[in-house]
Amino acid sequence: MIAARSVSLTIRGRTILAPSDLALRPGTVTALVGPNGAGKSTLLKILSGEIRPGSGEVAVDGTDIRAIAPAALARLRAVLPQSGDVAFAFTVDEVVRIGLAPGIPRATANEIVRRALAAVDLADRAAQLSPTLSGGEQQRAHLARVLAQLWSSGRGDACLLLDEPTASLDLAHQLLVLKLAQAQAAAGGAVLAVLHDLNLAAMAADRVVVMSRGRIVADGTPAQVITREMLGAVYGVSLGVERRGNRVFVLPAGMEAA
Amino acid sequence: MTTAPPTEAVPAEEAGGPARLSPALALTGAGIAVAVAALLSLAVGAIPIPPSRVIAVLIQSLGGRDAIDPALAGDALVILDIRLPRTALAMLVGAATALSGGVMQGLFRNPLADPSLVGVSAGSALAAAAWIVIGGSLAASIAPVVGTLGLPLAAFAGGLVASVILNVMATSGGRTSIVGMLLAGIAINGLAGAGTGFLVFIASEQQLRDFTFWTLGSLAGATWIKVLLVLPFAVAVALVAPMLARGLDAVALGESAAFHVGVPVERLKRIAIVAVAGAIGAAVAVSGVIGFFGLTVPHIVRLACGPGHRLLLPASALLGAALLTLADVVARTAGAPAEVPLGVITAAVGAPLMLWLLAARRRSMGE
Repeated sequence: MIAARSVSLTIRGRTILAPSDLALRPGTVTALVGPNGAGKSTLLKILSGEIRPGSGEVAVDGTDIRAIAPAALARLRAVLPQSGDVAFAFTVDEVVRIGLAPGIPRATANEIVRRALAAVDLADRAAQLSPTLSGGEQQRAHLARVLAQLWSSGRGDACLLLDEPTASLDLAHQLLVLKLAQAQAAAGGAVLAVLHDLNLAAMAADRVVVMSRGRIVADGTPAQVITREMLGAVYGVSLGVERRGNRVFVLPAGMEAA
Repeated sequence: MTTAPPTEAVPAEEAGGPARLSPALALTGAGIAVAVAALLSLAVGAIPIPPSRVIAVLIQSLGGRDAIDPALAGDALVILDIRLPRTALAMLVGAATALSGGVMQGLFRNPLADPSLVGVSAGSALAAAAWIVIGGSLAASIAPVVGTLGLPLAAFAGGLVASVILNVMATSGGRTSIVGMLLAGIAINGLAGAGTGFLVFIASEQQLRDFTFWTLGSLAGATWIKVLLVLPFAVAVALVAPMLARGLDAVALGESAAFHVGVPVERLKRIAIVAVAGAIGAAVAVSGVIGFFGLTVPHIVRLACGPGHRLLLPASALLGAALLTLADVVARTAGAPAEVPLGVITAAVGAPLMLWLLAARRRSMGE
């Protein structure tokens, strides 16, 4: 469980993130949405421990994140960052192995890597050099690395933070990523995903948090949060929102059912 | 669940994997290269000594000087007093320089990075020039031993000072920025170059000759004292390297991703920088600036064995020891009785290799 209490970040007088609270709930997929520059990635990086907030604090399972050593933190949460270029010509297999917790028996490690690659549809690419993969394949290789980290962490309910995990993926693999996120939540982990596609967010997330100009402006179920009013106020666009049972869809204006 | 074969270490041999040497083969091969280079270095010179006699002298000397067959006494003198310290120094400097290059490249996530890039070598060179032009004669007039030891110690101190300045300049808020460090390195290189240039300008002709020879790198003045001077720093970087290997692999994904998988990135950088500064400072101190060596050796290893640092670092150390020893054999035999500066040979081989690697890289990466 990761919780941020009144975290903020100001860089050279510019407020990137106004004091914000966000507690990720175990067993829940939370989608973090909002326009570009709203502070989504900053909040995710603060939650991951990667950047220190200017004020406020982050706690993981009740412990201040600053007091947790990187190696211990890596067993409590995994992170899929936005860009994932690899500096040297590592094979896909080697990239995935970098995620493994140290000290895993070799047979177990091999099995975890095999499963992780299969889970992202890269089972037949293990030996290929990472720089020769397409952008989407590289993204999936990094996702496999993140899965290897989760599955070797020794606990099933580690947190998972995903920064635009669907950005360079085709439709089938976007759904695959979200299914893996839901699986981690089903295992008891708290999952946070920065997403741009509101329909994907509405479909995959139990909870949607909306950010705008460095603030959290809405927080609730997809149906509560994704409304015409929110889209107008936050994105400055006029779009239709369609409801079908519990599900909501965002549609181009004028296309909503009468 | 656990049916995976427990011994298979290189899954890359499945369909379409890159051709790579296995760790056992690479390390054995590099080890043999070290032994052959050392034997050659002890056998070749103004008085050629057959390898069989070299081995006999080495084995007998284990029992002390008195245990050596009197018939071999002449050879023993040449081997143990002249060639052995030089060979040992070549191996230590080669291993330390190549290993430092491998660590720096991993840290900078850049296969073209080199300790000389971040100003460590330039700092050493400036301090050495200052010693030769200003300090040396002064100190030698006090006591000859101060003059002898002063140059290497000054070079080492210069390298360390450059590293400290670099660290201060590139670190803010507890984080070291790699880009900031590279830029600071360029600035330090420029400053040290200007200082060195000025000293060369005011130097006397004799000082200039000393200094030019020294900046091109040479093992000509090898003594056991110099071996002992560089030994602790080479051992330190060799002991630290295995602990850095996993972290450097992770840093290849970026510093954030390395932190995400549990690497204490800031500590890793501090340890790596100090270890490299010590090793390079000490190496430059005893042998001068040997160009392109720390850059080229890890490159060759990466090409043969892949980029994983668990193998890259030890293999680079061994190959560095072997190649610098061989380069030194060429340095003292090619133009005998005069010596060709070692840095001239390493640059003459290393620079074209570097260009070829760049061209090959551009082709394969489609840049």
